[in-house]
Amino acid sequence: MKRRRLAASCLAMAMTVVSAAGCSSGGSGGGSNPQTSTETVKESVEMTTGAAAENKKADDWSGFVKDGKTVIRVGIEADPGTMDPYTTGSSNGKNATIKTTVYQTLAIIQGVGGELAPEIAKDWERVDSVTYDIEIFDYVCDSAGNHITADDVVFSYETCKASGSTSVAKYIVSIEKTGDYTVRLVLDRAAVTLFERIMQTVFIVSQKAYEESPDHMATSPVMTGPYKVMDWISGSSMVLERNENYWQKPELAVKDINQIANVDRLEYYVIKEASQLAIALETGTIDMVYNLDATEAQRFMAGGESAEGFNVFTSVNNLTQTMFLNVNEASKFYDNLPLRQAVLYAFDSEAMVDGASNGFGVTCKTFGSNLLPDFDEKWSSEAYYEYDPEKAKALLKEAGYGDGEVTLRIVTNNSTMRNKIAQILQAYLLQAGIKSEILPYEDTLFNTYKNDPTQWDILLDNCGTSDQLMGMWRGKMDQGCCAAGSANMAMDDELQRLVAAAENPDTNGPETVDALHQYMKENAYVYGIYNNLTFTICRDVTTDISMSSLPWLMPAGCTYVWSE
Amino acid sequence: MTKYILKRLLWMVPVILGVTVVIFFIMHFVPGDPAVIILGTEASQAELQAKREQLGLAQPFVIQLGNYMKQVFLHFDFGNSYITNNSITKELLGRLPRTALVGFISIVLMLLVGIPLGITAAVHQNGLGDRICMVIALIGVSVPSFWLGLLLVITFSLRLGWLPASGIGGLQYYVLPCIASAFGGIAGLARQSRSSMLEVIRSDYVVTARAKGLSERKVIYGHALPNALIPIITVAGSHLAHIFGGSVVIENVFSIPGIGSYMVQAVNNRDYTVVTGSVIFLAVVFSLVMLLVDVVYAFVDPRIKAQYTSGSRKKKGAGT
Amino acid sequence: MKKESANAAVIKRLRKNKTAMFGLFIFTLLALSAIFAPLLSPYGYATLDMKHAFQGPSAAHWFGTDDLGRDIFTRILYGGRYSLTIGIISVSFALVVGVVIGTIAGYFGGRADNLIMRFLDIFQSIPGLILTIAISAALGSGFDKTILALSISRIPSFARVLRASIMRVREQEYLEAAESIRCGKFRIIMKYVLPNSLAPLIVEATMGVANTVLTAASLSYIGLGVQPPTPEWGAMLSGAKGYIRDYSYMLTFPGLFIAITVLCLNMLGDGLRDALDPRLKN
Repeated sequence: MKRRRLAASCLAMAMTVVSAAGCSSGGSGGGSNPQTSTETVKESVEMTTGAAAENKKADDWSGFVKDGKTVIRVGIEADPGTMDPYTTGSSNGKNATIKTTVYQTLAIIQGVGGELAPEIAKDWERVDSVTYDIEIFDYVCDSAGNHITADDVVFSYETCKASGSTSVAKYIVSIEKTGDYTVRLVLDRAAVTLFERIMQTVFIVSQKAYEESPDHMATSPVMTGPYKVMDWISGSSMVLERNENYWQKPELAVKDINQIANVDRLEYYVIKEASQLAIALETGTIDMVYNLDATEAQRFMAGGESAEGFNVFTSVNNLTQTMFLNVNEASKFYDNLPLRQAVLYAFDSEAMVDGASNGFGVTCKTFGSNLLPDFDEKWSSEAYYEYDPEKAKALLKEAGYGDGEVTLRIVTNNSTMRNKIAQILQAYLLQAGIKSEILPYEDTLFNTYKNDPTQWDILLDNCGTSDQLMGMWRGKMDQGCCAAGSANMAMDDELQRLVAAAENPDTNGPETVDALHQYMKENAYVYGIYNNLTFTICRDVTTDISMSSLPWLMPAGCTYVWSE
Repeated sequence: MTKYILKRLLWMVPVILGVTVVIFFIMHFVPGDPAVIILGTEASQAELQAKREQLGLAQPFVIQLGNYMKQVFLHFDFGNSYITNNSITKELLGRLPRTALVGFISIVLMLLVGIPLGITAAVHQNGLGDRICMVIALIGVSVPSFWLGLLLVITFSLRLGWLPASGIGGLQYYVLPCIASAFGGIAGLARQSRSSMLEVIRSDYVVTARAKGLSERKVIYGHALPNALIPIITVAGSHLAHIFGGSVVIENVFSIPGIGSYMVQAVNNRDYTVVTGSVIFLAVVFSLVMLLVDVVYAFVDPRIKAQYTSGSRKKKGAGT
Repeated sequence: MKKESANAAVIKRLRKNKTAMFGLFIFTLLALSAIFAPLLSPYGYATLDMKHAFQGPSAAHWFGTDDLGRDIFTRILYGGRYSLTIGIISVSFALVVGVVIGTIAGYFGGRADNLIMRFLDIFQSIPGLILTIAISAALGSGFDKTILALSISRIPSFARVLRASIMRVREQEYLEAAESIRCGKFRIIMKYVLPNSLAPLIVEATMGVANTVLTAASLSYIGLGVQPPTPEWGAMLSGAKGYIRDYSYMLTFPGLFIAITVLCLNMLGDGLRDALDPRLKN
C-alpha cells in the first residue's frame, strides 16, 4: 500500500525526469518569434538557390575525404524503391534525384523557370507547332559501354509511353528515327511548356541493356549519367560514385546542372523521422539534408544551438498551397459567386503561413508562385482577396445565407501542413459565420475523391510546376483535365477560351496570361494561399546548392570548397 | 517428443493456409484502386481497365484467392509490389535478417534481464531492490514504445553521443532499438516472474526444502524456479507477440530497413500485395517461434511431456 | 447461495487491497474529468490562438499550448473522452464476442470447440499489432473504425480465457444437478456457468483496456488510427513527435496520462487477480 503509492509517485517523478532529459531550452517557445522572420526572408529569397546570409566556408575539409575521394552523405526520407527508369517507384518524389543523377534525359530545364539545356540531345528545332527535330550527341555511351543511338531514344520513349509511368508521355503521338542520331517527335497538341516537359521526363537508356537486364534494371541500372550506383541496401542506403569514363566532354558538362559532378562519392541514407534527420546532422552521421522541417531547421540557422559548422539555404518551394472551390452544378458554390468570395475574404493567408509553416512562407498573389517567369509584376500591387472579415460577412448575406446556416466540406490529404491550414481555415470561416467540416483522406483516396464532384466543396492541395505558371494553369484549369471539367469542376466556356488562348504557343503572352489570371480571380475558382520555404542544411563545406526544376536538391551539382 | 514436434509442425500448415485466406480477405477491402495507384489519376478508363485485367483484379474474389494461394504455396512467390514492381519475396528475405536480429536480441534481453530482475525482487520482497525494480517495471509497461525510443535516442545519441541514432551497421546500431523494443517485455516478465516466484516460495515443497537445510541458492534455483517457470513462459510467449508487432514502430523510429518498416511503407502507399505478403511472412515466422515456446513448455512441464508421450489429448488447449 | 457469498468475499478482499483501490480511484477521477471536461476548463479544445502558440506550462495554460495555440490541458481532458472510450468500447465489444465464442467452445465442447479453437489459432498466429494494422488499413483511419480494428485482435484471447474457465466450471457438481432436473441449456449457461467463469475474464479485460490505449497510440504514430486534430492522447503524442526536442512538454502530458491510465488499470487488474485467486483462501 504505502509502498505502491511510493512507487506510483516515483513513477510520476521518473517520467518527468526522463522527459525533461528531452527538453532543451525549456518550454516557452525556443527560438525567435517566427512572425518577424517572414519579412526579411521575402525579399532576398530566390526560387532555386538561396545562399545563406552568412555563408561559412570550411577551411579544413579533410574530414570529407576517404581514400582520396571526396564524400558527401545525404539524408533522405525514403529511397527510390526501384532503379527501373520506367517505373515510378516510391511515391516520395524528392528522392528521385538519385535517378536523375544516374540516368539522363534528352534535355533538362535548368532550375525552376530556367531554360531547357542540352543533355543527351545536342540540339533541337521546332518544325511546326507540334513537330520537333532533335539531334543527339554522337558520342553518348552508358556505363556498360553501349553506344546510344537514335534507336535507343525511340525505344526509350516508346517504353516510357507504354509503361504509363509519366503523365506527359500520353501527349506524344509518335517518335521516329530520321537518322543515326536524329529523331522526329510529334505531339498531339501545341501547348506552352509541353515540349520542355517531355524532353526532361523520359530517361534514355540503351535498348540492348534494358532488354538484357533480368528485372528491367530495377536493381542493376546501366547508367547514362555522371554517376554509377556502387551499392544499394534497399530501404536503407545507396552509394553513388563518379563515373570516370563519363561520355560528356567536361567543357560541355558544366553547362548542364545535372551533369556537374563536384563530389566523387555520394552516400544516401534513409532516415524517416524528422527529428532523427536533425540528430544525424548534429552527430555527424550525415552532411546534407533537403527540406528539413522548419522547427528542426531553426536549430541550424544563425543563432541556433547547432549552427556551428552548418550552412542553411532557404528557397521558396515551387509547390503552392492551393484552394479549389467546387463549382459543379451539384455544389453549394454553383452560380453563387458571393459565397465563394465570402470564403476567400474570410481568412488571412499570413496567419496560415504562421500557423502551418512557422511563419516561413511567401503569400501568393495569384494561383502560383510570384517567382515564376510569367508572373506579371503588376499583380503584386493588385488586391487578391486580402483578409476582410466584415466583407466576408456581408458577402455571406448576399449569398443568401445567415450566420451558421451553411456547412462546407474541406477535403485535404493527410499532409501535416495542409491539415493545419484546414484547421486554421475552419476557425476563420466560423468567425465569418460559415460552418465547415474537415475531411482528411489518405493519398490514394484523396486522389480518387478530388475528381469526384460530390465529395468536396473546398479542396486543399499543393500544385507546382517547374517552368511557368501556364504549365500549372494548363494542367488544372483546362476542362479536359478531369472527369468533371477543370480541377475545380468548372464547365465554363469563357474559362476554356482563355485557357486555350494562353496555352497556345502562338498566342501565349502577357495579355492572355493576365486575362486568364483576372478571370480566375474574379470568379473565385481557385486561390493560391502561399508557398512555403524549404530549408537545405549542409555542412560548411558546401557554399552553394544546386536545385533541379522540380525543385529537388542535386548534391552533385552543389558548390563545395574543394571545387572552387 | 519428436512426435509432438512433428504434430505441431503439421498443424502449422492449415493454420498458415487459414492466415493467408483471412489476410487476403481483409486486404481485399482496403479502399483505393491499385490501377490508379500505378498509372496515376490522369490515366484513361480504358488504360485503367487494361491494367486491372493485367493484375488479375477483374476476376471474381475466389479465383483471385486461388491464384494467390497457388502462387504463394507452390512457387513461394509473393508477387510483385504495385509501386516498385520488385519481387516481394526477395525483398522480404533481404529484410528478414534485420528484423530477426532485433527480435532475437530483444528476446534474449527480455529473458536475461526480466526473469532475474523478477526473481531478485521476489527474493528480496519489500526491500529497496524490489521497489526500484517494480517502479521501473511499471514504467516499462505503461509507455508507448515510440516515445521511449525517441527519448533513448535523445539521451544516448544526442546528449551523450554513446550510440548511433538510426540506421544499420555494426552491433552498436542495434543497442537502442533492442532496448526500446524489449523494455515492455522486460517489465512484464519481471512482474510475472516476481509474482510467480512469490507464489511458489510460499508453497509447501519450498518450505520443506528449506527445512531440509538446503542452501538458499539451491532452494531458489533448484526447486522454486523450475516450478515457477510455467506461467513465466506463458507470459514470455505473449510478449513475443508484442516484440514482433512492435518491430513495426521500432523500425520506423530507428530507420531500420526490416519487414516492419516495409509493411508500414506499404500501408501508407496502399501497396496491398506487400502488406499481404509481409503479414503472412511474419505470421509464419511467429508461428515457428511459438512452436519453439511450446516445445520448451513441453520440456519444462512434465505433465505435458507425459501427455504427449502417452498420447492423451485431454489437457490440450486449456489455458494457453 | 454459494455464489453470492463467493462474490461478496471477492469484493471484500478487493476493497482491502489499497493499491487496487487507489488504481480504481484514479481511473474514476480520469473518467469523471473526461465527462465533465467543459466544466473544468474555460477553453475549447479546438480554439486556435496562434499568438500564444508553443507556450510552456503557465498559470493561464496549466499544461501549455500546442503548435496552433490550443490549450493542452483542455485537450487532455477532452482527449480522455476519446482515449478512454476507445479502450472501454473496443474491449466491451471484444468481451461480448469473446464470451459468445468462448461459451460455445467451452460448454459444448467436441467439434464446435475444435473448429473454434482452430479458427482462433489462425488469428493468434498473427502478432497483435500487425493484425490491427492490417484491419485498420482495410477499414481506414478514424475514431469508430479504429475501435473496431482494435477490438478484433482482442477477441481470441478473451475467448480462450473464458473457454478455459468454463471448462473448469463445467466439471462442478451443481451443474450435473441442474442438468438432471432438466434445466434448459441456455438457462444453465446464463445462471450458473457464466457468472462463475467470468472472473478471470474480468482481469483480462481490465488489462485489455490498458493495452488498447497503448496500441491506439502506436496506430496513430504509423498514420492509421485516430489522427490530429482529434485530441485523443495517442494522436496528440504522435502529432507532437516532431517537437520532442524543443517543446517536449507537448509530449510529456499526453504520455503521462496514457501511463497513468495504464498504471491504474494494471493496479486494479492485479488487485482483481489477487482477490479472485482461490489459493489465498487458505
